[in-house]
Amino acid sequence: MALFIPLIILITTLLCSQVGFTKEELSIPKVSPPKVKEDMLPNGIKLFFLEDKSLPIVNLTTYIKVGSIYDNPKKRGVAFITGMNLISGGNESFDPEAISRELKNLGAEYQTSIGNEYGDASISILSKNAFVGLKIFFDALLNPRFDEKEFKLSKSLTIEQIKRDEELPKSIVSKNFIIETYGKDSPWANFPTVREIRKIKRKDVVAFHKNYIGPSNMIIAISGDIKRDEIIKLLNDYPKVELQSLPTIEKVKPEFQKRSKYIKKDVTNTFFQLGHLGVDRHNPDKYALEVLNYILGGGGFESRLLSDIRSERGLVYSVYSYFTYYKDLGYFSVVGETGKKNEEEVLTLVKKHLEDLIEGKISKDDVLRAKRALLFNQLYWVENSFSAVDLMARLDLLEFPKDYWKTYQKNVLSITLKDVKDVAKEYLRPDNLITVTAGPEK
Amino acid sequence: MTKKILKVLLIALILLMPKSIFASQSLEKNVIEYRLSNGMLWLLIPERESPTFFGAIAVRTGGIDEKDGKTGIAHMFEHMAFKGSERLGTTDFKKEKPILEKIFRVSEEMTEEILKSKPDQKMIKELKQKLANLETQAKKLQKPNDVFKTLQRNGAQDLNAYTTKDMTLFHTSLPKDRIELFGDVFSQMVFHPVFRDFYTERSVVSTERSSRVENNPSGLIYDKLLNIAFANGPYSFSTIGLKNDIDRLTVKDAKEFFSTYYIPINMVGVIVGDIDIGRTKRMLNLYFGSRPKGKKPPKPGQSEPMGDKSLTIESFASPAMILAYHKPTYPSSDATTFDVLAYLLCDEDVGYLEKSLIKEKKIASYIYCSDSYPGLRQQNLFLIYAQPRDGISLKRLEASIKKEIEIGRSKEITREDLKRIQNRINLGYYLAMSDNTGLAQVLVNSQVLKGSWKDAFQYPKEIARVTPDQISSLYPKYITKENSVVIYRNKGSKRRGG
Repeated sequence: MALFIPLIILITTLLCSQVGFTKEELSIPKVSPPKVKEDMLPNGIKLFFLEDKSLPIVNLTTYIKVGSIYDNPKKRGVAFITGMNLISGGNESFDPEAISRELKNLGAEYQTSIGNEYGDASISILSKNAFVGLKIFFDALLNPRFDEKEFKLSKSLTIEQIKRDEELPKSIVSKNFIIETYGKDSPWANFPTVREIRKIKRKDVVAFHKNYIGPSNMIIAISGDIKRDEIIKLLNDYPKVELQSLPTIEKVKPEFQKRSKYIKKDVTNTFFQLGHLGVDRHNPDKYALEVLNYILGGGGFESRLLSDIRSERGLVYSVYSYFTYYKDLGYFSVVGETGKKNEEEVLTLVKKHLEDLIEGKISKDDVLRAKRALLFNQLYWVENSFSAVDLMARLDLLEFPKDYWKTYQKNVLSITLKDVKDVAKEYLRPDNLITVTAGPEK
Repeated sequence: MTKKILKVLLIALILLMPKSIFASQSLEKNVIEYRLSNGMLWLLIPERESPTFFGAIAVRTGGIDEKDGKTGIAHMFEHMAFKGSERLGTTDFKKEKPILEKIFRVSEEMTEEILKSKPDQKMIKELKQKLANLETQAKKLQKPNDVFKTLQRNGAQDLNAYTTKDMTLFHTSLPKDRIELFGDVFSQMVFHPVFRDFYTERSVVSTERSSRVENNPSGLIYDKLLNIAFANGPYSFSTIGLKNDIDRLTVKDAKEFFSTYYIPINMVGVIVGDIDIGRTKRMLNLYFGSRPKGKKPPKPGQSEPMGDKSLTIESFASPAMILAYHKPTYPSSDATTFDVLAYLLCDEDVGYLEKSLIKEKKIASYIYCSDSYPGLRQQNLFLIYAQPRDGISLKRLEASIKKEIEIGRSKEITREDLKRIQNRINLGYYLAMSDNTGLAQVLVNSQVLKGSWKDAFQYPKEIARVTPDQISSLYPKYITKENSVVIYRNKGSKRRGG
């Protein structure tokens, strides 16, 4: 029975006995970047394509380089509402009812949304109907009708959703954490109120689309049982459109100040999120921060937060940490839920773990394990043809270098214990935490 | 998922065949069925998209096999599988074993005392202290989370498990050269648990329950629905169990449950990914083959449906309701017809309820249908979950839903409707099969719940056969007042819990 265990132990021992190591010594299978076809069309669309005949379907995502951070501060919510109406608002030939019926009849599933930095519009469709379906889809995306009735409905459903989100402890905590971290007027904390949504007019959405959405700011990832020249031909039918340049938005000020916010909720558990501003996605310290986060709370039971607060003490079911990276400063955060009576103990423990890290209580072993996890992670980046094109499209969208696949490995491999200790000291601020809790009264 | 499609297949035949049939047939041919001598079945599917594989073991047990007073034990055992064995999770099992046994005895004594009508508080306090001391001793010999750590350090992703009414599934993805490690660790999890940390984990599960039910308005409404829809039997409570039961579960209960249901003939394994079939078969024999066959587990208790029931509950969230009807399960052909009905009514934007209540009348903000709640192994529920728009009463919403679902009875369903539903279900089916994880789960679900993985490939054809007459015939049989269960969730100021 124990035949293979010694081998594994050997690998682990080998790893722990040295600091630097090569990928081979980690015994991680080789993986090469996917072979994706890349095209730049005359109208400005960037296309990442991979043919795959294994299943009779086609998957496509269009990324659009505009997000809610560019909303006019006096018209917050316009990007979001535009995102909701991109396909469902109809096109020149089909009203909303007809477009959803036509697409679903063809066996399609689609969704659209605009997030803080960019938007996306996705469709999956049976390949026998792909050409017809994609034509309807792009007609709506590029020449939308923004039907008035559908527009009004999307506004009122959004208002209902805002109200329901306010009730749920988890969503109210995460929303308030971001508002506290960036400030309520920051474009990075763009949570429109019911009043702001009510004020939005159809013409705002039409203008937003006209100004900021067109072929030249679209990146498309497509894979499946379809020919490359077919899709290129379809996309070439849409002319180049002059778009406005995106408004400049104010830089996030790296300010840190301890504060707490409590929201009373009629529940039995306390929900919490704490943290502070972090770094942008092109910051070279990102890799060391990912290692640090794995050690702290990003690696499940391999991480300190879960193994101490759940396994050792049984105080929570879940607690974890993460860094979010944007084009400007992202944030660092620890999230969890615990019984009311444990709240103080859990929050103190979280803070203690942060202090341990900045005091340098990190071992070579911790760093090795985390680095290995990050390298292993790459094996799963491409699990089917669509994840291959999607990965390449997102790297392009977020302006990562072409050889990110290789530099990722190099960057992770080169991290030292000192790097991790340095970034802990530089970026974690346990004395200046923003803490948001929701739950029963204290 | 690039298939090694059988290129030698008669070209003429390929040309004659619609593409969709061709694709699913080649997929079907890729499935290798491998049964070990002890009866444990494995499904192996080679796929080479990434240098990894997804492996899972499904045990045909869950909430369905629980008895009164011991609800939650199936899920509690799922947690135990991750707590290690004689080789994983310990630095010296010989020394740890006697301490574990003392822990089991003391906690049993303590639980017994707590359950008495007049518990001796002093005695409980003493036992608690004794238990704490023993746990401190045991901890010195334990390696916490060894199962997770061993797998994670070897590149595992998506390492987790879930328990439903009908089955328990343990799963992970690993790099392709870790196939033996998968067999070694997973066989220890499902065949050789030692029930370490049972009592710490019991309190984690108790927190999990309060997070999933008491503090989660949608968890709460589904929990209460089961309570009133079934008089007794395993479908009358949520899989996580009743709070009082969870707090009283013991290692003895878990051991009994384990030895009854965690046996080779009650398990199906699946591996999809970059695997060598010969090497994989050798590994399976080595790690899973020597386990004795075991005795066929007893049949689960029968859930007893109760119709014409309604209940109003309160929570901190805006109102919602569920309208449900008792219905038969697979292999009744009516079950498949209900699947079609769910799409007909609730498919986003185009379902009749969606169109009428959300888009036209604007009285609902959200609608969702489920064709077989809470499981497939016994008679279950067809349900419609709905949230009213602000200011619309649940009564009015209910009346409108009841009016709109009559479309199914009217036979006014068009060919376009049925064609659309076929296309939609086909798409969903292909999407589910387009990565290792999805494909593995489709096959293992079908094998465990319907008795054959091959049925998964028949499903689109079964759907294609459903007619408007069949849909209409569901109504006099099932969509009746006597067969209905309604639950209203109002927003209340007082806290209510499960």
